[in-house]
Amino acid sequence: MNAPLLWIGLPLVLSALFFLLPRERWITWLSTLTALTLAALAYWLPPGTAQRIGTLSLRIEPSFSLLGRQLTLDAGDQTLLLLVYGMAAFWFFGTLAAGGARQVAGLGLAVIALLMASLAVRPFLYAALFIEVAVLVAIPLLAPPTPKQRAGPMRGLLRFLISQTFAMPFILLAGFLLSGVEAGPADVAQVVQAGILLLIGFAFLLAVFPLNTWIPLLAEEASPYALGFLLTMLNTFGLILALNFIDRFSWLRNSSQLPTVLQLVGIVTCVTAGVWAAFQRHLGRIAAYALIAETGVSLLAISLPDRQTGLQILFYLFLPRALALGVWTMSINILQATTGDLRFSAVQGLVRQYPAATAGVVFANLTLAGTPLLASFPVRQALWEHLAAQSLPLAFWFGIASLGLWLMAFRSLAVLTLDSSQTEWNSRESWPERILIGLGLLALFVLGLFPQLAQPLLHGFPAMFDFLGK
Amino acid sequence: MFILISLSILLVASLGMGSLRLTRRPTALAWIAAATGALLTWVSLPLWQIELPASLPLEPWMPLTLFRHTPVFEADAYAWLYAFSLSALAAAVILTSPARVAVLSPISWFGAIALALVALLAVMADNVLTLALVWTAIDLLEYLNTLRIARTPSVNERAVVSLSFRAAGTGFALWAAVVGAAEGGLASLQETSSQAWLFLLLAAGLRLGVIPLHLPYREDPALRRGIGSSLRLTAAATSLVVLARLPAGTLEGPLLLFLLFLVALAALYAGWKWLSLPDELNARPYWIIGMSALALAAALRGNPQGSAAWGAALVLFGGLSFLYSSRQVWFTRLLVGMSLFLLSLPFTLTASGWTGSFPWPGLFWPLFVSAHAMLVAGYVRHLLRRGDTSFEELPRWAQAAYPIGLGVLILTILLTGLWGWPGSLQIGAWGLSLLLTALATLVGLAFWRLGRFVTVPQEVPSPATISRFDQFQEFMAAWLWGLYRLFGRLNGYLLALLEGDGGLLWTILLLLIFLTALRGL
Repeated sequence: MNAPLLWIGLPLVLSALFFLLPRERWITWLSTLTALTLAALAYWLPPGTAQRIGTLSLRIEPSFSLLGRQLTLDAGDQTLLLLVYGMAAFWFFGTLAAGGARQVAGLGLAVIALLMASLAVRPFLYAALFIEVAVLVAIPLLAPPTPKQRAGPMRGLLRFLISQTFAMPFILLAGFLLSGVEAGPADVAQVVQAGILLLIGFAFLLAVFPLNTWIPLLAEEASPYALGFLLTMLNTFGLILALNFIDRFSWLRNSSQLPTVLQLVGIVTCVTAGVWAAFQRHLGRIAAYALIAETGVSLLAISLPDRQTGLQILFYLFLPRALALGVWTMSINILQATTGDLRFSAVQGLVRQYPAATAGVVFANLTLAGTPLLASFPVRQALWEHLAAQSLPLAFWFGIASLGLWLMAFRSLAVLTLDSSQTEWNSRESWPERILIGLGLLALFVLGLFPQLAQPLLHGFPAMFDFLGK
Repeated sequence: MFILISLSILLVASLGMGSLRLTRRPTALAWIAAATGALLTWVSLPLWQIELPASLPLEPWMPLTLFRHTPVFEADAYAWLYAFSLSALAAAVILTSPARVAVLSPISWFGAIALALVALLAVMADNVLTLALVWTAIDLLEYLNTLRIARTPSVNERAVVSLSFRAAGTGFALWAAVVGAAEGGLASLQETSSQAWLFLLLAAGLRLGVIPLHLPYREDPALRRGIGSSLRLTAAATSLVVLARLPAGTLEGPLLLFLLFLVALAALYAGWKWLSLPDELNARPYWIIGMSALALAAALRGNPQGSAAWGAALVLFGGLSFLYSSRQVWFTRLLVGMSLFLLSLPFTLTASGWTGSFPWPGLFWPLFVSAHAMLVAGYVRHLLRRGDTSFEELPRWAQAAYPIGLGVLILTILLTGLWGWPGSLQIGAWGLSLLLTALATLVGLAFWRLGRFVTVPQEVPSPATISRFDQFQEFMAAWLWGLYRLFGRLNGYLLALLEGDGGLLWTILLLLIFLTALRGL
């Protein structure tokens, strides 16, 4: 058996097959099962290590050759595989309530496989190519399936494509320039140029300020759940790819300016998203800004002087982020299916008919704002305190960004509960919707109270890198 | 061990109530489960004394390299005092509820039990992180309860505003932790620095639940006595408990004087309003403000015992006043007699309230003593008015339960004056307490005899009466909303530029500016 074939090739093939299935429910169940199986395989049979099952010895080969390039997934990638396919199972299963299984689960599996390939490919400057293919595959995932459902010219989708496509040449070029100076900077001018290209490439890829205007636009056009899934995955893989670059080049890793740059970009992204979120009147756009702020939070975590702590925070945040966005966008999808519109004026007073969806919207928003009792709180508070130890003004601005999201959570709550008709409590959600949102919320509270539960899952992450976090 | 017993009783009671509801058993069974649970918890509280100080065994948040702080629940004598008072309040709320037949509701009993459970955890919170967790839990319980019963959009809206203010209080507490981290860490409340102290003070102030005044329940009088009292008093007590745990004498100089002056003004204003408003429910926020001001003044003077004494008195005497809905002449006489225990007389709960001294005694003593006298006089005055119903009109089982509920509060007041915490069995400032007794009597008599001093002498059900403070509040809210809309328009203009047809060009321009700025680093 071969790891890239198992965790990249197989999902690609299955994705094409699932896409052809006639019923969406089948796609949901099969894709969830596939993702869970792949996660379980990563747990029980980590790539590149021999495992004994009774008298049988199994070893999954870590490398696969493709057109003269290597795709490698070794034991260090075990946690990533586990996390990504675990998250994918959660999102795919969510299509039972949110709908759109053909897009999210069918195409989603292919997107994940391609993004996984971007991390596995050697030389890794080809990563940008795989990401670009993933972006192209994601277009039908985001576009409404029929022209009738398209409200306008899909400007957000177009900008998404432009923005992510711009990332590719910058990263490719930077990788090309840097391939000769992996060990150390031979030519300082060349390194500076490569550094700037890399910065711009990742700025496009991670959608930091000011290159993120497409996200709120897209949130008005695309299915919230599909967008939530895609952005969670792109964000996770984009950050890990950026860390790969930092890990690979010693001059970049040891640069004294890198933390400052990351800190500045992170805090500006975080604050602008938080402040802009505070003035939105569209549930989808609020979620979009929360996700942008999350990118800023991740960059701030990477910028911490204590790299190990920074990485722990970064990786820990993947879990509550995926959970919160899943619950949030699933709830928004349910409300959108009723009202057809996510503006405040349309969703006002829906709490008595959609209590679970309302709870999902509010608590997921509060989670990403770092509210106590909820999953992000322990780590965001730890990050806040670490930032304060570094600089109190920086911590103050971080607080302002969180405040914007808090405000928005309370405003959404006020709107959703402002029911002038005062109808009786009568939930119109289906049982799968109630159960999935309920389970998601339960997980958010459990992780908020017992963050140590995530530790076994996340402690293996530093093994992905040769130098970072060691 | 004994702490776990108390917590388990509450947990079992709430689970029992839940299962009774699921199996659609009669409401009376749910009441019996709630009352038994609350009473047993109250009875179990004195057992805590056997092992004080004690902490709850909890698994720390891991990894330790990431989480500098982890939730810690530590029960000391002050935590015990608050826990005993709050469990008495929960028992009293449930036992007196049959007297409010119109609002018999298993969900409100469940709310009282759940609130007691979280409150017991809150009073044991030993660091800001733990406080933030339990405070948020209390806020959620209160909000969900309000949302369930709210019948008008305005109540819904006000509930969200109230929740936001409480959350802002929690936010200030978290910021205090952050400031503490900048100064090298804030492992427990006892290690709070003066800067962090101020933010914690602000947090406790915002979380008292009095700003905005009367919000959620103004138009819902049916809810105000039972679960409403429980929510209001519990929220206040779980905020004030912080004051007893903070290091004494952290603030000094002009800042201390300024804060004391502000607190004195708040106490005076609240004392007057508490005394003059027509009924105790409308005046409840002023009782909370007034008693909290006394607690805060004690903390500012470096007297944690006094702070805890006022906090417990707020809960216990407040409970007596707000739950006493069905009147009977001998009960009234007994409860009026209990006012002696509010006067800082020796060997009473509040005996340690006035120990220590003020920096400018000539200014502060008269202010605070006057406020205290008005609070006591108001307590007596509200007891003497006609109640919602007569005790004799209650059904027999309610006639049995109702006095037990009030008795639990009375017994707690008596016991905590004599035993269990550093402020018990104290002589205190007995000279001052005699002066207070005289002053409170004088104020009461003057108020009774010279009704023209008062703006609303007769009992008028006036939920819509808008005080100047309320008007100021409305004005501030409108001003803030205007500011928000102004920024919203500015924000909208910026976003229209970035997301419009020329947005890509603007984005690239911004990117270039950003890169130029980065080059300068």
